[in-house]
Parts: sequence; structure tokens; C-alpha cells
Amino acid sequence: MKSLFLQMVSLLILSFMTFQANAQKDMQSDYYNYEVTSIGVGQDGTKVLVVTVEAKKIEDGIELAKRDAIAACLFKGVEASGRAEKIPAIVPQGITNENQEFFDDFLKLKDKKSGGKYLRFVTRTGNQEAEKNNKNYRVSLEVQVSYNALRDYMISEGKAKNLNFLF
Amino acid sequence: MKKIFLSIVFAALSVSVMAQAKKPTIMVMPSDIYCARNGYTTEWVDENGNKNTVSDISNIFKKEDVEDLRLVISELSKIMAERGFPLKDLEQTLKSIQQETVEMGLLESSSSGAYITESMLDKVIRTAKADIIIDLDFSIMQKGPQRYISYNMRGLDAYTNKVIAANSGVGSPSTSAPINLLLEEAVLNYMDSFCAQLMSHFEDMSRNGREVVVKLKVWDNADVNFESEYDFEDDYLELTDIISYWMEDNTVNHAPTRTNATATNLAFEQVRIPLYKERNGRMSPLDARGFANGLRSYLKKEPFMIESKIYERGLGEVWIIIGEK
Repeated sequence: MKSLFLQMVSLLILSFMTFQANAQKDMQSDYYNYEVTSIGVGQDGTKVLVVTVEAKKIEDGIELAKRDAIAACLFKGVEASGRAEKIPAIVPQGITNENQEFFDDFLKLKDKKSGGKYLRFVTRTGNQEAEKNNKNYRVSLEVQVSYNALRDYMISEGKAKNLNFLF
Repeated sequence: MKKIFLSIVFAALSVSVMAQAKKPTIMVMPSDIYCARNGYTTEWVDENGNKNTVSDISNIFKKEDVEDLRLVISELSKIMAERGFPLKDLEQTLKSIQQETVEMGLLESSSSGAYITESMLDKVIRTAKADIIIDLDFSIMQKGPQRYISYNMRGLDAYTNKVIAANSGVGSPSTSAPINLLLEEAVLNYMDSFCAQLMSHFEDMSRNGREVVVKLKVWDNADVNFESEYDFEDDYLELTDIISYWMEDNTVNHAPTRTNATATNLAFEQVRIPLYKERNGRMSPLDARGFANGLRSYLKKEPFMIESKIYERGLGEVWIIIGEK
């Protein structure tokens, strides 16, 4: 009886760990699941964006919003709003087999130890707004992205083309 | 071992040289409507007594109230230079042309005192020109106490007249921001999208070749025209058809559009030419003139034996005038 109980507990712990790992993986590798609005441009090549994401904790949502602001500038671009013009994607071809490893590393979410290099290019500029949505929080955050610096970095890493690539 | 190393270095250098296509020049020009709105125009009366108004581009930078235009052009130039595409400056080009005109008039040979020959055509084509024109229009609008910028910018291929990039819109209204800040914001707002469209144009060029215009004309004393017939591929064909076949065979898309075909005039648009050609064992960049040289050489051989002159209008347009040089 005791061994059956131990087996069941072990199974439960294993299932929970697998679920957590998958949830973490989904959060890490989904670079398209967020809402983003452009609200302004800065003189030094920066863009001010508002990103809305869903996360289990508000703190996770804040980090995810910062990371997804960079992902939006890289892969999706940001549509024009009443306050700012369209921002084109820096890497319009998106994630491919050739660049997957680079971007998984670059966009690695910040944890207690470290985070990807995306952190160099994004700054939080306002307080978050969070509302409970079933079991998750819907977190909105205003961030400033160093868009020109991000583009130049991607060009230097060979992940994006410069305008004069042909000449 | 050293030889192998040198060969590898040489091969790498050859590839890097080969990868360079001819770079188009880009210049910002104020649009006609901007010039008209701000009074930068000049009027003249033709021989029929009709009054004509044209943009006075050559004197625009001598006006006192042109700071806004200079500011916008400076901002655009800064952004384009950062993107590896420094703009050809209109103001400096105009000054350079005026200076060159003065020097041309004064320069004389030290041995005989001869002056430089310049035909009327040389004088006409010595104007401010570029391969891609950024046609710029903006105005400062007022709504109650608020001011905002209306902005319109188009990138035009100077030869095909196609719009390759365009942006327009109005900026955010403000009661306190100075005009130069609103203008700066407008430029910053639109440039990324504009550059992305330019990038698409260059990517299309790298895939499908450079789009050029080829026009063929006839000297009035020539003894051939485009309806002259030749024994060609077991048939009697007119020169128009023979030239059309040559164009199809030598273009990237094999489908240039013949837009005009008369006995004395032949025009091809959407002519996609390769970016490079092989010469002396290496790839060298190709422009419209280089492409047209192939046709000139073809027409000079049997059975046609037609002499012709090439007139280059720029990187993307060339005329071949048949009959003589």
C-alpha cells in the first residue's frame, strides 16, 4: 500500500514537472503571441511601444512584455496607430532553421541568473497595468526599444540586411 | 601551401568584387506642389504667348524662408547615411554645377588658348539629376491652437517613372512643440517604413535584375528603319521583330514590354537586365549602356551591318540611334 502511494506521488510530481517545463518552453519559444501598439518615436532611433501579454504572474508578464517588444520589432513589425507610423520587421523572414538557435539564445527570457542579449535594447518606461483573466494575468507595459541599435546589431550578426547590401 | 592560401584569398576577393552592383544615386527634390505653394516658381511665356509656371529648383536654396526644407533634407540625409546610402545633396549639386559652368567658360589650353568644347546637349544634361528621386512635399497645418505636419514622400525611379516607395500622412497635433521638432518627428516616423520599401525594391532587383528602359530611334539620313526586312532564321523579318527577339533572349525575365513600335521608333520598358556580366574572367557590374552595347554590336554584324550610336541617359535608360554614329 505504501509503495503504491509512493508510486502515485512520484507520478504526480513527474507530470507536474513535465507540465511546468512545457509551459516554460511555450512561453520561451512563442515569439508571436502578444498585442503590440506603437505610440511614438524618439530622436535617437528609439520606438515607444505598449505590449500586452498573458502570464501566470505579473513579474513574469513584465519580463515577457519586454522580450515580446523586441520579438515584435524583429519578426512581426508593428502596425501604424493613430500616434505613430508602421514599424517594419527587422528580420521579416522570421524564425528559420538557420537562425532558430541564435534567436532562442538572443531572446532567452530573463530569470534569476541571466537573460538573452535582447535586454540591451529594451527599457521599461512606465508602470504596468495588470488585470486578472481566469488563471492568468493580462499585463500591459510601456517600453522603449532601441530600434536602430537593434537593427544594426542584427546586421552585424548577419541576421538582417543593410539597405546597401547589393551595392 | 602558400599558393593555395593566396588562391583562396584571391577567390574570396573576386567574390566580394563580383557582389557589387552599380549603386544608384538618390536625391531629395522638393515636389512641384511644394514649390508652387511656397512661391518657389518662375514664369515664362512661350512663342505662342502661353504663360508657363515651372518650379525654380536652381534658386530655391537662395530664398530666405527655406529653413524648414533644409532641415527635412538634413534629417533624411542623416538617416540614409546611417543606412549606408548617403544621399546626393541637391543644394551642393546646384552649387557645383554653377561653379563648373564658370570654370568651363574660363579654362583655356596653355599652348593654343583653346576653350573646352561643349555642345548644346552637354549643357542641357548638366543638371541636378539622380537615379532615384525622393519627391518631397510637406506643409505645416493649423487647427485651432494646434499645429501639425502633413507629409508626403515618394521614391521614384528616374528612368521607369515607377514609384518604388511611398509614405504619406499627418503627424500628431501639438500646441507647444516648435515646428522643427514636428518636422523632425514626421521624418523619423516615416523613414523606417520608407527604407523597408526601398529594401524590397533592391531585393526584387537582386532576384529579377535591374529594370531599365531601352529606346531605339533612327537618324533622319539613315537608309534603314525598323520596318526594313532581313533574312533571319529561315524567314524574312522586320528589324522590329529581330530586335524584339534579341531583347527577349538577353533579358532576365525574357519578357520586356514593347511599348512603342513604328518605322522610326521602338521602345522597350520593364527590361530586366542582369546585374553583372563576365568580362576578362571576372564579373563586372552591368548598367543600361553595357546592356545596349550588346545590341549595338549585334546590329553591326552580318546580315544587318547597321552602324548605331548609343546615348546614355543614366544608369537605367539608354537610347540606340541607328544609321550612323
